[in-house]
Amino acid sequence: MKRKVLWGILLLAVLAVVLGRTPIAAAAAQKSIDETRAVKPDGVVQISNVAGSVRVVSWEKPEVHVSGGLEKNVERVDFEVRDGRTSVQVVVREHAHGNSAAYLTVSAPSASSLEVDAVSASVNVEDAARPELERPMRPSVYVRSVSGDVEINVWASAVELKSVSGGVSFSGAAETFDAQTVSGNIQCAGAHSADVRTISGDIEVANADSVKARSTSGDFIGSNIGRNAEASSISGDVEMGVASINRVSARTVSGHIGLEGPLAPAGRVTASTQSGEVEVGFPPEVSAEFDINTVSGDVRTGFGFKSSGVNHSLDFALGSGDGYVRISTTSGNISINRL
Amino acid sequence: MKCETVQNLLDDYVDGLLIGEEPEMVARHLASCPDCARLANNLREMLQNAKGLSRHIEPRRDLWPAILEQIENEPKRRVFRTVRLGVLAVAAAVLAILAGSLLMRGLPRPGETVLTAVEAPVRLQQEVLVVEAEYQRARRELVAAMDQLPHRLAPETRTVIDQNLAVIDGAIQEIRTSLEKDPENVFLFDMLVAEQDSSLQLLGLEEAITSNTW
Amino acid sequence: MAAIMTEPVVDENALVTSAQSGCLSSFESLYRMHSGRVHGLCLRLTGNAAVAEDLTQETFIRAWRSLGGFRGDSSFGSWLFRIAVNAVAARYRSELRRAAWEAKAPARAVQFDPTLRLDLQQAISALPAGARAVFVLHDVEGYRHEEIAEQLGVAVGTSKAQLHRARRLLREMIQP
Repeated sequence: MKRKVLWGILLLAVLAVVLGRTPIAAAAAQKSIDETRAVKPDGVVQISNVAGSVRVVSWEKPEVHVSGGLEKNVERVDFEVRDGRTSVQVVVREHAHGNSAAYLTVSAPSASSLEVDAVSASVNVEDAARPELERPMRPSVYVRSVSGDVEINVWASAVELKSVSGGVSFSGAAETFDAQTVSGNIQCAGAHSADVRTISGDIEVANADSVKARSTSGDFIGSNIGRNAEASSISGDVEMGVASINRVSARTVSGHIGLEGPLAPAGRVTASTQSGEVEVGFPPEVSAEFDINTVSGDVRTGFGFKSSGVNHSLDFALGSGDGYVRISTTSGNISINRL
Repeated sequence: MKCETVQNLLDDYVDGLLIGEEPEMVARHLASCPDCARLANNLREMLQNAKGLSRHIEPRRDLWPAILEQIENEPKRRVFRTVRLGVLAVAAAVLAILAGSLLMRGLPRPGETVLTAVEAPVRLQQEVLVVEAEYQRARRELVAAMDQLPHRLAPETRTVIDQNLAVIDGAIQEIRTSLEKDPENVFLFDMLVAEQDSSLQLLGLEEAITSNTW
Repeated sequence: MAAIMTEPVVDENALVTSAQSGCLSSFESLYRMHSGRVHGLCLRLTGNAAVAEDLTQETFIRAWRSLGGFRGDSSFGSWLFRIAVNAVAARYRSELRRAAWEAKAPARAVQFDPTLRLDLQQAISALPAGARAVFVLHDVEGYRHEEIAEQLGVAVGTSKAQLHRARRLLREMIQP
């Protein structure tokens, strides 16, 4: 009998030591939040967090629900509703180094505008897919982070994403999409018009009607752009496929330029680079005036024209000359292909 | 023919797109199947209505004034440079310098010759010198102002900013080299000014982030 | 003696030539002649009055800019029409492609109440964008699938599939 008790005590002692070191015990000491507030469905929900993560999901209830775990240096989460504006602010102990992460999940009405501010926290916004013909669009979604990655999948009128070194990515549907980063990559799929700027990040835009994109050293890849694009990079490449070219301009200093697509009536293309190569492709029935200039590059066309003259310039017209294509390089080679 | 098959072919049948024996087979089925015949009639009636929809619908208001305005306002002389000071709040002195130096100056659009061939290149070269001088001055002032402020951003972020300042400097150098070989190139000039603008913004970014104005 | 005043016969070709040389008032006359049809098309294709007005303006502005390219191979009206369809298609192309011509509709589509019997006009505006575009172009305006496919930038098969879908959805909405 005594021996069994002794073993029992020993077992308990061992368990106590083991449990004391496991996450279960740590979790028991960790803080968390699980609160709900009633809100107007079409108000503004503003969230700010320093470290950890912010995940926003949408629902149809006129409520905002905040839940998640908080590390020990998170002092509190201020969660209040005032005049149609809900704010969720993570407050971190001053001069805290580390252990100040909050991992929040916020459920917000699908018709509210969103504003999210993060430093190193990653941000993820997910609007549920809805099969009905009509669905509300959030008036605006604005996310700003210093180093956290931002990934949003939303239906909104206006989307604006900013980051210094985090990557930003949008999919869903939006009328306008604006993004600025310093080094983070930018991805956008589903905006009607996009305006993006980065210094060293790469840019990928798909399915926009119009896009304006600038990178200093990164690449720009535009897929299935509707009709207007203005893209430039100093040393990065610019490549795009356009469904029906209305106004397209591509500029680099040393990066390559690639462009493909049919020209709409009176469409205009301008491609300019110094040392990059230019490769453009048009369908055989393209109708445009071509104004091709290079100082020392070669010019090849799949339409039966050869370059001539000292400065390799070519002027010719195809079809009824509706559109206008102007390509200039200093030393870069030019190819105009038949698609 | 089964009803389901016929119903799948109804659209093409009504459009006259069926070939071979199909039209006859469908017709025979319709003659003996009241349900499918009714569907076919409904379809024909709907298409008849569709063809009869009025195609001439005047807009609610006269759009001509707006169209006229757009037509008359172009081609505008394109303003090249936009100063994206936006949300950066930097020392007021620096702001004044920026505003003075990088304000909109209208220049001819690439392809438009507003000036004579002799005037245009000379003016652009001068413009480049002016712009470069102002950029250097604004940059010096900004660096001096920033140096006096405490650094409060995480070191990794400061590194990212410094690295990208170097990227922009490299790009500006690349553009300058190209401008030497092609001094009349307005595209290059446009890009030079844009990169200078970005560089100044980036210099002020740390302060802007710290003061939450970026 | 009564002077007989007769209305000058409107010669469209003369107006076009005059507009091509820069005469804005001739272009205005052309606008007055065709605005109803262009707007009607845009309205049926988009189901949204504000967007349709926008697109109508865009069509005429584009037409003015490319007047020089109008060679008279087709009638002025058809040329204008092509520009209009192009403008509509381009505006919706991002959405159409993203939805891969599937069930999603533009955000401002009419709320569909299954207990309501819609008339044909209402039903058309409740269609998803891709299906509506093809239905209007094929069954209202009378274009062929090959022309529609080219204008909208899709395969002929897609155009046919969208038409079948449109007609089926319309039938369900009109006679549920």
